[in-house]
Amino acid sequence: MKPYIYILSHEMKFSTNGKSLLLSTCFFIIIILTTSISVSQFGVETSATSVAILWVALALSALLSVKVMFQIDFDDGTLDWLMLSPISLETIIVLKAITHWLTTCLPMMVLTPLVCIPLGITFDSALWILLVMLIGTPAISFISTIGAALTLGERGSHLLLSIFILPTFLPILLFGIKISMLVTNSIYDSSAFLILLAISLVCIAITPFITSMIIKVHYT
Amino acid sequence: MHKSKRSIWEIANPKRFVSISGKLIPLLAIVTIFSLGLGVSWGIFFTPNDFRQGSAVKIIYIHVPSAFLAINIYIMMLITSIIWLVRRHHVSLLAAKAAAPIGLTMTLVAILTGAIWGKPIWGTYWVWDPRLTSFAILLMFYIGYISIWSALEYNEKVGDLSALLCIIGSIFALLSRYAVLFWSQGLHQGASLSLDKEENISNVFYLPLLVCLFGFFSLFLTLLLIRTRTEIRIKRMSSLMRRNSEK
Repeated sequence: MKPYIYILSHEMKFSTNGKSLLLSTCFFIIIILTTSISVSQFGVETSATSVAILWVALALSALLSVKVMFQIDFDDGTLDWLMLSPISLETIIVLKAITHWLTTCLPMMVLTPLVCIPLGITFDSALWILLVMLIGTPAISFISTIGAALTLGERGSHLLLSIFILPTFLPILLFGIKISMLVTNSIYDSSAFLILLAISLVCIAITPFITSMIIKVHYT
Repeated sequence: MHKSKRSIWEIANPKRFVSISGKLIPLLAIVTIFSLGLGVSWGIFFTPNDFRQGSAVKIIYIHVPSAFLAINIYIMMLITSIIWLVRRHHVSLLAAKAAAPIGLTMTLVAILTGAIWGKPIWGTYWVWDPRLTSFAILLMFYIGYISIWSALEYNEKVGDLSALLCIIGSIFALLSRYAVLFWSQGLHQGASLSLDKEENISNVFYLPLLVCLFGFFSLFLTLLLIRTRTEIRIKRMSSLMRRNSEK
């Protein structure tokens, strides 16, 4: 257990030092503020779209810090060492995804009840949305590792990464947004919750293997 | 040399592929011109108007075949990508690369003709019906696949990456499609071209549509062969140039 904790703490220290934590959270706040200001000026009923804005803002800001997930380790050779170590590559990917979730998705989720105020979502439904996010966002972090691995070694391919990865968030986004919309209208559909949980768990289960396949391609 | 049993894998040799496809292309081109000409002109000029849709129904002869191809080309890319990952045949990988822009074009044609058809019949160019949504999703994954090829320089590594991307894309496209279907049923009618159902569309429309489907399919084959040959030659050229520069 000890080496896993060590790698995790190293990753955590590394990503909080890199200021990506602050940046993606700021980006999240700014997307939400700009969109809600733009929408509010025309007296549009926001509560239906605001949930979608919340989720899309979350997905976009999560993408922002994906690039650094493997790139720096790949450049300075840490990844070579990690691949040679007795710990399997899949485990390392899981740890990286957990780090990404802790440093990127969690701060945004903490802010969610706060940013729900300008979006016109009540506090009670904000707590429910938080629960939906808790189910959905780990999958977002795990799927992001695929994109980070695909664009490994490419300079300035942030755009390329978004082109691949944003469409793969769709299943999570569709269910997350729909359930959040139902929740804001006080409809609690437990089967939808379970399906979102299922999709999320399937993504978490398969992505480490896919990502490790992709990373191994870079080393052949 | 040992003469082996003739099999499909013979064309996996790029040289064999080029020579065989060189003979096939003129033949296929003639078949394409003939069947598309027959199918489209039969469909447009010699079939009656639909009693409810009027002449708007005639766009079916473009819309359905292109939509049919758009989906099937992605499946073909998936199969050839898997063949590349398993058996490492370059022709297979290059066929997937060559097919992607054709598939993207077919998706766009299907969406555009659908929009033109949808305006008089449904009263809107675009609506978030599940099938339209699936095509929007398909479009995104085509764009993703093509962009990895255009962004990175050709080598085996990029081939592996693109093949993996194709597989991942199909998993997530399927997941998204069922996520969309979970919430709504939509405007499109159910399948009316299936072989096993009693109630297909009437023969007056069915036969020219079949000819059009065949014509589009052979058009795809022709374009695919031409494009794959081009890709093989580009690959050969670049390896020759690399060898020259190393000297």
